[in-house]
Amino acid sequence: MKQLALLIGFLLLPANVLAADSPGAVDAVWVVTAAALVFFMQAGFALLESGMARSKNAVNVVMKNYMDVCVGSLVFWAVGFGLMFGVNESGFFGTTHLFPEFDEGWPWIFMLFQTMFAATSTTIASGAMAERTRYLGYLLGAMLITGLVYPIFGSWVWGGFFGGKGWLAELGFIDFAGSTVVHSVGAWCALAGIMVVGPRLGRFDPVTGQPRTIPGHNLGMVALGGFILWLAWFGFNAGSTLQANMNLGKIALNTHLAACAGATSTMLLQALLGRPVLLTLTVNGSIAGLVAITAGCATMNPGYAIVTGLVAGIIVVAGTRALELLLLDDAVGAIPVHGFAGVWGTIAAGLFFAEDPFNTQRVWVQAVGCVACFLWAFPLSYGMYWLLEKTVGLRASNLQQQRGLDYTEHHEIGYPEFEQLHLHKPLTP
Amino acid sequence: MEERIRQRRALYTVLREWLDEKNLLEALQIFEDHFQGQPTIAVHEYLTRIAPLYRDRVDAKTLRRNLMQILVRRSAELEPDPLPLLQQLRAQQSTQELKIQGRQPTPEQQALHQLVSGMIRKLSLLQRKQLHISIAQQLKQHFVNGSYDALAQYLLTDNPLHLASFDDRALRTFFNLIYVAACEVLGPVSADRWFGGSIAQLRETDQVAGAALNRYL
Repeated sequence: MKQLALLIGFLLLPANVLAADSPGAVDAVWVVTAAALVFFMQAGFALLESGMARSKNAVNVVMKNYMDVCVGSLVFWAVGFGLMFGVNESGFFGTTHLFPEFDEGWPWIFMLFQTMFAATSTTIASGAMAERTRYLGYLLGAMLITGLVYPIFGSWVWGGFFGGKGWLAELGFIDFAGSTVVHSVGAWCALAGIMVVGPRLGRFDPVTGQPRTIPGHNLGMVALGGFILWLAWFGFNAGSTLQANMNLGKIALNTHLAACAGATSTMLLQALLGRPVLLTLTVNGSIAGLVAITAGCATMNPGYAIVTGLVAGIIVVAGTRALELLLLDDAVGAIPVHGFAGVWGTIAAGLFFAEDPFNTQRVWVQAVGCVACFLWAFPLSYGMYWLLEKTVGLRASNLQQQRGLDYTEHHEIGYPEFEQLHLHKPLTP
Repeated sequence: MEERIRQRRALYTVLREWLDEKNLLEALQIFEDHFQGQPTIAVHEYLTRIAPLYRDRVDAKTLRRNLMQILVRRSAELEPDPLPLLQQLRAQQSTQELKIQGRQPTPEQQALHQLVSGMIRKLSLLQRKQLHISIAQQLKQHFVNGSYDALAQYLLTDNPLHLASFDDRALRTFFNLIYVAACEVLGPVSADRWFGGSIAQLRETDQVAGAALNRYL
């Protein structure tokens, strides 16, 4: 009862008490809550990606999502955080705070929040590479992304929490919550991954090159995953203020409107092209809107947030088709959603900057940041995945793909009672 | 005739660096049976065909380059004609074939035959033709010479006797190759349904055969 009274009292506090210039208890509560929301994105990704995979690979997709956040967080705590936020004199990477220890409370909170961001970036590759990637190879890749690829690029934009500044930040690059830092980095790693690992068996007709649709096993899970991601994104974007202040409303509203616009434009475009309006693509449209608004959610007005979302939705449809024409098999559409829409969102953040819209100089800096991100993340992760393929093995064998990765990698079946595909030996009790 | 002998000697010269005697003769036999008399460019296809013999031992590009260099050498620099060795191998194989003819497929192999035969019969003629072409390509990459011919023969004749000389591992690979070919020809979703449905049907109608089949899945 006493706790309930305290909670009501807390909620009735006037807003000006909640807003503080230096981080206080309320800021701490908000950022930790936002970190928990960002963590909840993992559930969204797991549902979305697993739902888009075939039932014989459903457990494997969830396990990858489950474990990449675990190993990724450990690696980010050990080295990633220091590389990203340690003292950054060169502008290229941090050099302090490896295996960090702090005396004050705030850096711990900041670290918790950033760890969730790192895990989000890492998990993007799992969906794109789903259904034909070995578990061990994927997890080793996830560790390298969280420990090296993501934090180094992050230090260029957000680095210098303990001193110094990243070179892109010095140029004036804007990426409020990580359209490029989090999502594009993850997407370029995913692009490298799918190029190394190759398409799923039969994804493209070997004679004509025509893509063949491989429908997911549970579209309800896809929609639920989309909703969870949408909810968690409020924490992702609004939490990036690192303060409980009055800007939160606009940031959250922009986030919501862009997602709505993304889904709407994807739906309309499919209808205008005379194609079936697919749930999977529409959900991807809303997520593309969320990715795109992430960079400029704090610096643009809601009208422009809608434009950003609308364009992102169109990019998803075009990007998905472009990848198919290039015979690249992105199992869940992660690259158009996080990569192409991320680039657009970053450009839009410069283009629609509220205080000075359509400033070409700012747009140029944004473009430089996007190119730098690709040139860093793609070749490095390509080399990393190539090495993993040659050493521990990344692509699942044909026999493993026949049996399904649930059986071959985990010896567990997602739907034992309803199993209709007898493509492997029965599991012995 | 001179050119044929020269090609055989050149192949013998380059391949003996990488292959042991048994694999070397098998590789030469494939050349004699399927590629002899064809233009030099066919050597590329030939090397792909015999890849399982030298895989893990040598880089295919290096092998191709060496072969091209040796093909243009003077006759005196080549090894002697390996024809007598090949004739000796053929004599051994015909004795072996007589033995295989007397071998009967095991109940497990019969079960596999029951499944594969039933599955293939469900396809249209066009699909069957496309599948055979695709399986032949897959077989080339995983089986050489005698094994390849026997499995190709099996698919054409639908005769389980051809399966009798294979162990479980080889037949599991064979079954998987049919799956891969099905994914390419029919698409992954149809392939999964085709395989899953056929296996479930066999397990329902013939429990013993269904259980025996597990070793190939």
